[in-house]
Amino acid sequence: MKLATTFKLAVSDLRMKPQALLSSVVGIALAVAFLGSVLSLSLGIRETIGKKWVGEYPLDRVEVVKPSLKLGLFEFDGSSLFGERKLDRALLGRLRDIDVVDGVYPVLSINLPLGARGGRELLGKSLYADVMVTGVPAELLAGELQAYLTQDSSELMPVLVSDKLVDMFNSAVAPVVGIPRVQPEALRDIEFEILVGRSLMMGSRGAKKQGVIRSKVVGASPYAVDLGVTVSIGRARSLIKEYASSESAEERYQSIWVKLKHPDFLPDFVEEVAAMGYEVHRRGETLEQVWRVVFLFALLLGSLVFVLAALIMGHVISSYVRERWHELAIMRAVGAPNFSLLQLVCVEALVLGFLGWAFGMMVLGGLAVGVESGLAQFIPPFPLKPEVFFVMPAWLACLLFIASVLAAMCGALPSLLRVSRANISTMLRRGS
Amino acid sequence: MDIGAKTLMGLLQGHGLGKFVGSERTAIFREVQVSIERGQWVTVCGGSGSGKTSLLQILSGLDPQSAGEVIFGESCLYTMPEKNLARLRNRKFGFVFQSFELLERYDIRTNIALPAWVAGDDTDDGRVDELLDQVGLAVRKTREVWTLSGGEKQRVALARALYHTPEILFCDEPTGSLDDHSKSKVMACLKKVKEAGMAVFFVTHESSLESLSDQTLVLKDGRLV
Repeated sequence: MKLATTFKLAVSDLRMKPQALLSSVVGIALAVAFLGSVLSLSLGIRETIGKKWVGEYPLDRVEVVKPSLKLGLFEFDGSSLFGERKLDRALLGRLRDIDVVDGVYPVLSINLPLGARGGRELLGKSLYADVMVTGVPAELLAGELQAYLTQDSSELMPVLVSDKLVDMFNSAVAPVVGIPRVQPEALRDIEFEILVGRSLMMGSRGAKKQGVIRSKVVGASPYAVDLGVTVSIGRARSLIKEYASSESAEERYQSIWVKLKHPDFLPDFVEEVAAMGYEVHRRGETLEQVWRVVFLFALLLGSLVFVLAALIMGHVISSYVRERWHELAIMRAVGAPNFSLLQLVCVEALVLGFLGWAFGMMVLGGLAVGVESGLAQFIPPFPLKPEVFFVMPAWLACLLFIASVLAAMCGALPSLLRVSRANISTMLRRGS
Repeated sequence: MDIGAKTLMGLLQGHGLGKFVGSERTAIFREVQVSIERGQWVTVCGGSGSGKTSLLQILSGLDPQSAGEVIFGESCLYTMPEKNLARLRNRKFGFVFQSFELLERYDIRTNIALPAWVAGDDTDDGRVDELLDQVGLAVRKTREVWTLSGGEKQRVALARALYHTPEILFCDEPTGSLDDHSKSKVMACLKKVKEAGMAVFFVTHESSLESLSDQTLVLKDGRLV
């Protein structure tokens, strides 16, 4: 049969039983809405985790850290278990010697008691907090930040803050204190004091003297330490030299960033690093694992709903076929091959699948808009609160369409097989 | 088997045909030999349950035989691929059933052009008009099938059977459920078909068709007598 004729016939057949048509479309629509909502929600959360928590790094940059002990989804510092592993100058040299490595950038820990005081411009009053300070080579940063960080002077020390810290400030501090949210650029030029050699937690342990350094925020970066500030590595070294006692003065790194010659070299590099007794920090790996578990669970649950929808479809298509048993027998008698009937039932399934998908997407759209506006209105801001909860990429919409058509086809298949295997004379007799 | 030799004998042949039903394989008929020549009218008579309709269905490719074989031209009907058998039913065979077997939801024209529809061909409107004239339904051409009388429905069914000008027309008691007036109109149409040189395989329980019939077969107790 011609496709246009088949389509005309299929639509005419489907209109024969509007209630059955409605029930199968609603079944598929609910399955689409359910599966679509759980998947798009998990994608939305993943995007938040990916962008806000894990951070965005160039593909050729990886971070070498001490080995860790992983127990399921939990991770512990395992360096003492694997023998003493130091992130030091010697390791820096060994990493630089690996063929696939283009550059190495140590993140220097300043093992000194440190505190920060200030924030009047931002918060209206001055606050104090113990902080960590790290030092990174300016070359690790993007062009603009690189320039700002190296404009160091003895009066004003340029520092970077973590972009995650900015996000936490925007989502947790700003709404509570009642001040506007800030863009990372707006933080630039905010000044505060860093108290070196004394802190609430450490007292003055490890310091040979105390001092106050006027500092200025020059931007936010994913390479900056989360709960503290990051300065240029040169400045960090001079702080250690000036303030650390002899036992705290040893140069130790928190981690070492490595720039590979090409992202494709990553597997080789990971292998080499493992052979050296260290590991490459897969940022967000644990979160990714959690996300995968959640995504698979959502997929499984959604698929079960689709199986139910397919069963409803099967029932509906089977009732259509029963209703038209006689007509199908007549068509076969006058020369319709099984393929034509297959085509007809498939087009019917396709139409039902398409209608179910379209209604399902509308339900999903309504649900997403409702939930988004509800959450925006009634749920207070919290750190890493997603700006958008539901993400619907084109591939997910296509996947849902394919799933709904497949559900319809699977539902239609048993009836179709029955028709194609049935004897024409029996079909005619039964229909008469 | 020498198919070449057999094809010389007729257009459609049934050799040693048998039909068995049920788990005990009860025979409806067995060892039936049938040969239909081009342009020949073959009438099959017999009482209810004698297997006339089963024989027609076997010969026309609607229902496979339990024993024997059916040869059309040079091919065995039930060993050819399903697609080819469907095409044979569509192009070479025409069907007129006692209960009309029309698509009641559609109009007369759609029903007549059904063989073209299911074969994926464009509908030949001229051919539909010609057939409507031939069966005397030109004035009814826009009517829905369900609004027609039994005799009119049977003439629509006949027009549908003739759409592709088949080589054999299979008629399964086409006048069995019609009144005398309708019956005479349908029979008049069938006479024209015979005059046009088409072979007709006619199943009936009546024995009043001898004037039209070139060969009359009687099925009794599961055998041709």
